[in-house]
Amino acid sequence: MFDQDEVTGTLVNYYTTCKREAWLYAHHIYPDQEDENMALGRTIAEIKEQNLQDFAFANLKFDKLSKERGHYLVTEYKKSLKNPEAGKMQLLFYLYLLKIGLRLKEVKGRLISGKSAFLVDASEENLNMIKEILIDIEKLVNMPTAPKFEYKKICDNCAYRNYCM
Amino acid sequence: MQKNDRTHFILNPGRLRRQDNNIYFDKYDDEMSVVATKILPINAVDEIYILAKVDMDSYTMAFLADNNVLLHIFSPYQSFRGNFFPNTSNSVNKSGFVLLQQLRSFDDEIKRSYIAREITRAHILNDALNCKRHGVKFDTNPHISALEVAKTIPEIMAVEGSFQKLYYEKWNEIISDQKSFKFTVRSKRPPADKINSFISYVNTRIYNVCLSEIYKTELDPRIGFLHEPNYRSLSLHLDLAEIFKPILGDTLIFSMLNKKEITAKDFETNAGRIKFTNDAVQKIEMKMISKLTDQIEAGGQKLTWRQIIRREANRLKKCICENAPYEGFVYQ
Repeated sequence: MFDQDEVTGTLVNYYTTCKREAWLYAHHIYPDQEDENMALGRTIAEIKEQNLQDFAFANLKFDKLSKERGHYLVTEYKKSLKNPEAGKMQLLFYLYLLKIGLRLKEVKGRLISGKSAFLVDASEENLNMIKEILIDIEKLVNMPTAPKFEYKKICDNCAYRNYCM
Repeated sequence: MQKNDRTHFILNPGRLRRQDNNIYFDKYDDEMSVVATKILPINAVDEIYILAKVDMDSYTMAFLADNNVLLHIFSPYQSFRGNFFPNTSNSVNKSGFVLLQQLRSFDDEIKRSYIAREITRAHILNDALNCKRHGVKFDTNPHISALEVAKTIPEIMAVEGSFQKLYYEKWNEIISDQKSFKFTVRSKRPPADKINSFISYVNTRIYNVCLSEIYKTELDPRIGFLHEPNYRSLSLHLDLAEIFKPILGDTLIFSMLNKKEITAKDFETNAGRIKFTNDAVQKIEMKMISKLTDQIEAGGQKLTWRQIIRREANRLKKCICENAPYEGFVYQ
């Protein structure tokens, strides 16, 4: 049985992008590691703050945590902002865990790609949304087989393309 | 991404160390003092074959693991000792789900023979197309229909065996130098004549390439479908190689023999065992590497032969995990 505690930020991101991708990732069927975009992502992850590696929360793997005036700011770097919804959900998941687990009062999230950036707010409405998504993810991953493959435009650049297609 | 052959061989004793997010190799001389240092760019290496005594520390190994570099370790007499398997959050190869599914498909008689049949069909078709490309007629219909009827693994193996015998007889029509490379009968361990020793050498290389590509997916190389896994340690790469032996190996043999790049002089006999001279090995390896890095069009993408092999492994994985229809790769 897959439990909500095992959900990671990447899984939330994948869930918003493609349900099949999320199922595969949760079952440790990983995408092609030599894919160009994978390599880029791994390089971007190196911007990460060093001391975050021994952060108390195992599932939290965001890139940066900074203390601003009166609130904490979680930063996530992305290769592109083509799919802002997925990045937003990933950040909301971090904010949710920080709020529930560490009881931080004011937390905000920021998504950065190149020179553009946008803020994600941990409002009541948003947190309820992520709560529902977490329940959905648990349901999806506990299904015995992956959702059927359907061709979408994003499939062309996905690192799973050699497996799915 | 354009890829070259990303295999690295270490043939000298030395020390492999990490420095500034990169891998350095210090070559030792007899007194263990460093004589030369070489940089192995971490992003351009996929696997390292270690054939000598090499020092390494856990810091280096963790770094290699983080970057998904496979280590194959061999004894000084070139027998296989084992692999270093990366196990970090970045690394692949540790899905319990895929392993379970693979075991289930192996135990399922119908599914196992289905996969075995598809692999054999691709093997037969690739062989026949090879003949056709060299202007030799070959009728595969009786074999394909016999394959359709075959239910069990021994029956499929029998079809394959009888086909293989006929196929090797056709080689005498393809290879022009009949004086030193006449094919009579396939013999192994040790190969009895020059052509057999050539086949054995090239096949071994293809087995190794298939094995490395299987290691990059979650499949377990211990459980094969066509070849019986009971009495050997690894067998899935033999299955996969069945499809690619005719495309990569046999064409390489034909072209090197017909262009007279390999002649009878490239072999030396020692106590009844035939082996290549070092020059010949180098010539074959150069050809092999250029073959593996050749790009062809498949499924709307331009892929190198190595990537095609991995794609094939992925399709097998999809068949195992999701009961998707599987069709072996046929090179038109």
